[in-house]
Amino acid sequence: MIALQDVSKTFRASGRDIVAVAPTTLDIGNGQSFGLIGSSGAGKSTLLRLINRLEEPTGGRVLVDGVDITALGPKDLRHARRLLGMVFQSFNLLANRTVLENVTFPLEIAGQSRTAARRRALECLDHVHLADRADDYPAQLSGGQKQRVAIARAIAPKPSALLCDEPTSALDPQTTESVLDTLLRINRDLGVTLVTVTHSMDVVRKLCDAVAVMENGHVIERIDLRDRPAVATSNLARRLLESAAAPAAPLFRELAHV
Amino acid sequence: MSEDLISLLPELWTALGETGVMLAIALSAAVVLGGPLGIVLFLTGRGQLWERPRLHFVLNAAVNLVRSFPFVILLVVLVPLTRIVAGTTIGPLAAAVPLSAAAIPYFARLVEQSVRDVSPGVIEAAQAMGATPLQLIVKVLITEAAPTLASSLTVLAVSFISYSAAAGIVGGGGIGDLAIRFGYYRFQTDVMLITVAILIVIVQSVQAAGNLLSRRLDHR
Repeated sequence: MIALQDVSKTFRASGRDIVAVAPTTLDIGNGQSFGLIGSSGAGKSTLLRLINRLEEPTGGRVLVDGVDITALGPKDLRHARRLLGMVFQSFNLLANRTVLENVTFPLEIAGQSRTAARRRALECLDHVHLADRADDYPAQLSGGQKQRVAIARAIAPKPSALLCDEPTSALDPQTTESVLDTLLRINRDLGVTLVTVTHSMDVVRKLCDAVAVMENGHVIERIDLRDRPAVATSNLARRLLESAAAPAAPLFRELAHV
Repeated sequence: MSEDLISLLPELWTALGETGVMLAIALSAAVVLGGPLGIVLFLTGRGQLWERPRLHFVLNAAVNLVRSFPFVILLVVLVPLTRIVAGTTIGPLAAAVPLSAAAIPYFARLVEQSVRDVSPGVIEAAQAMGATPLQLIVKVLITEAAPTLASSLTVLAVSFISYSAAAGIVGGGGIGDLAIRFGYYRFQTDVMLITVAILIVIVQSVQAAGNLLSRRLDHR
């Protein structure tokens, strides 16, 4: 459903071209939970942001449900973006709107009536177990709760996919669990496709059924994690293993030994 | 109460009214024209949504230009404009023209700085949700910056209570002018003291109201 075809991004900084994402082709299936992993600066966040054109691609195409996102004008792009929810590392909630108003926000801008938006928002808050905090402001919530509100907001317009940019990197291990559980339920129960950028093997292991590994702007490997034993050919696994915390290791130890 | 003060009471009421008129016009002009100008200044800036370096440069220079003028000089320089806009060059309505001219770029700068504090991540999130530029301005920039905008408006109001005293030069009247004419030039110290006391009360009240509003709007 999300197809990247030779999509690339080159930044121009102080007179030099810097390749953030080399021409990349990837297919992410409907309902899949797909991970993008790599060390910082590998281009994984840029690649994710090319999907909803928060970054304009330098070349190539992005197809979402068969629609060429890269060819859309501003108005059509805004409509297409409603089918692609996004979750950020820093939550990016509106501080002066209540939890409920944050979740109604995407519905409001899509022109839904106040009552319909409110009903749907409460439904989504219920899904992330935060319906009782609807009238609080984001500042009154913990980091994990804020991220769950952000997830509720992202799923409110019933998107077919969620783009998650380091969704747990600002959280401690315990709250990370709760956020990953929430994402997993959204993937399993609602059938929403997940594309998650992370540098943590823990997150990949818990959340993803396939992962692409990025290095210096290239996808150097794609691993299907449902296959056992999973097959990895590059030595990235070892490197990631070293960077990941010890409890995160088992899956990749398994991979690294192949 | 001294003879001076009692005989001055009617004048005092008129002066208060004149100050009110001047401030109401100048602040309205600042909000209606300076507010959008500030938003445009922000949006056309480097790395922003409508990055337009040349337009930004021109607007920025224009704002700085007007803000460079000492107010009394601006008052005199703008006499021809005042004649066109207000039809006269004396009285509170006439004084409101240069006051507005000074208030517009002043507030524009304050607004630009306020919305610059809105987290870029929140702006980006709204874009990712498919917000139109207008929705982004109204529902994100202005809503998120609301407490700072309220403080900015308070700063503007307090500054212009003081600026309006200079309006006496073109016969604008107002409470500050009264203090200068009677209290300072005629050495009626009691008049000067009472008018200054009134100004203190006004400024304190405006500031307190502004602080309260800002706190009400702030949920960060």
